[in-house]
Amino acid sequence: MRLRPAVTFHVVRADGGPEVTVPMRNDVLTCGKKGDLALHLDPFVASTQARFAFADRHRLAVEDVGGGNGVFLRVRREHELTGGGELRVGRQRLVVESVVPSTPAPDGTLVWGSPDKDYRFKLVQMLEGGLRGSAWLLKDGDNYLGRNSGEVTFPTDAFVSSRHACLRVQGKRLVVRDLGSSNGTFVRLVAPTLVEDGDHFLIGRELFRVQIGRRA
Amino acid sequence: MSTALFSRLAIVCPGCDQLNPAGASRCTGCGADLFGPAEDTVEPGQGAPPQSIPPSTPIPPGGIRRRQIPVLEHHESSATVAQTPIPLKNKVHPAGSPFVLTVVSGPRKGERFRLAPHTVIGRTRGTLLVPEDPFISPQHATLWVRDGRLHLRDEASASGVFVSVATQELVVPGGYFCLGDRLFRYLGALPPAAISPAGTIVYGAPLPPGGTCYVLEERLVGGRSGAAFVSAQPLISIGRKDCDISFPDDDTLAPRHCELTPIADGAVLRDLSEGLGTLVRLQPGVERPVKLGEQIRVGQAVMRFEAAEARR
Repeated sequence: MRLRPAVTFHVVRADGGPEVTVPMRNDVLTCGKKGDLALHLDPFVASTQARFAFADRHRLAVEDVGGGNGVFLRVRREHELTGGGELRVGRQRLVVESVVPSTPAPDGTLVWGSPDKDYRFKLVQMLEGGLRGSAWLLKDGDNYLGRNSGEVTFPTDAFVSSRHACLRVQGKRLVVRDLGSSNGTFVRLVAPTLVEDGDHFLIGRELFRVQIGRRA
Repeated sequence: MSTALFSRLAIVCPGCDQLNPAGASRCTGCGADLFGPAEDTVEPGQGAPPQSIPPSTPIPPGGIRRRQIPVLEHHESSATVAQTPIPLKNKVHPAGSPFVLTVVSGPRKGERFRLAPHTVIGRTRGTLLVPEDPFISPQHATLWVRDGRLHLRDEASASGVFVSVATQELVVPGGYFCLGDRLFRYLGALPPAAISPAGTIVYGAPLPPGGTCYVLEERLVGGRSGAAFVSAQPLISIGRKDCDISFPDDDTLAPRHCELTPIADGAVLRDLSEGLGTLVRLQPGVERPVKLGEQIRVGQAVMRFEAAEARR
């Protein structure tokens, strides 16, 4: 019978200090304030927020099991987003919303407003405590996200790279791609997801890397 | 289409509701003068030449529901139109006032309308019908001229009626204003964040530095929220370039078009567009006088209130 691979979790410290390493001893590992991987100092982490488990004998999967703040996976290449999807870059949490086409009232009147260039998606900044902050309409084609340049900018967020990510709208699709940023672009998990060796996860303010190797 | 429509509108007698043919000056039913007697009025301090200004028509409470006197005479500004009834340089028509509305922006840019004492603009009801503009409500706004000024009232239209900011104006939280082809809504101060009783705080970006934050939102066609801007700065500038909110591709805007200064009960909107105009939306049912040279927006059309002779 095939043995399950060895899994270790490496919690990355924001100050660049030594990593905390936690081995996965059973078939299941929980993350949270009261989890096996204890993240008890973070006010944004629930008691149990993520659950890692072997889907079968040798494939590791992760799922979001509560808390509301989500489990975010670092994008390696590119990732398709849909309405309701979420991104994290730097200290930002951004929600993708679909823009519905305008419809006239039953009497035929349309409410006047700024021109709509067939926008399909909007990016909404979530603020600490759950308030909605700034919002950006995404045009068809490439929308660049960065600290000071591009369509979506965060001049006061030092954790956002100058050229951080690209959001490409093509018809009804929205794809995010990291542009080699220092701190990465993360997408929120919406379903149980298989974990690959070297995947980075963000829960609250905690960042950790999962190492999957052969058991000696 | 509308050119012919305006000049061919049947005239309903305000006294007896008799339907009279287009161009009639006296009612075929009761013999009343359809346009009322003309009166000499001296304009107070407007600098316009003394003209015969017909008296304003009183507005019945609750607005006008039935079709009234056709009030706007419409003239092409450049091309000679065979059906144009009275060129503007001619003697003032008895139905008209010595004032015009010149369309400065919109599909009918350049056209001029001669104002009559009393006008109801609507897409399907009123005395000035604009069937081709979907942004105009069936009955949209009432305009009348009194004492040399244009008075306006929004008849609870969907898109609203906008008037120029002379220098500055207070915009209350929830109030709308427009510049160029863009519509904005000032939402006021960001409310304090709810404290989660469970102990876990909803994750999000830290609030912008600088204390209380204010929210400004762009509104898209169809009454939808567009981009939103959160700022804790004491002043928010909007324009084409180098502003807090910049639209580099929008040539309907001045480089620095306007500034918004949040205060306790709203925000002070200051126009810096040097004539392009920053306009605020009227509260429905509220009367507002407009001076010569100021602009109004109704649907897609931005129009300037001018003396008829000003350009001739």
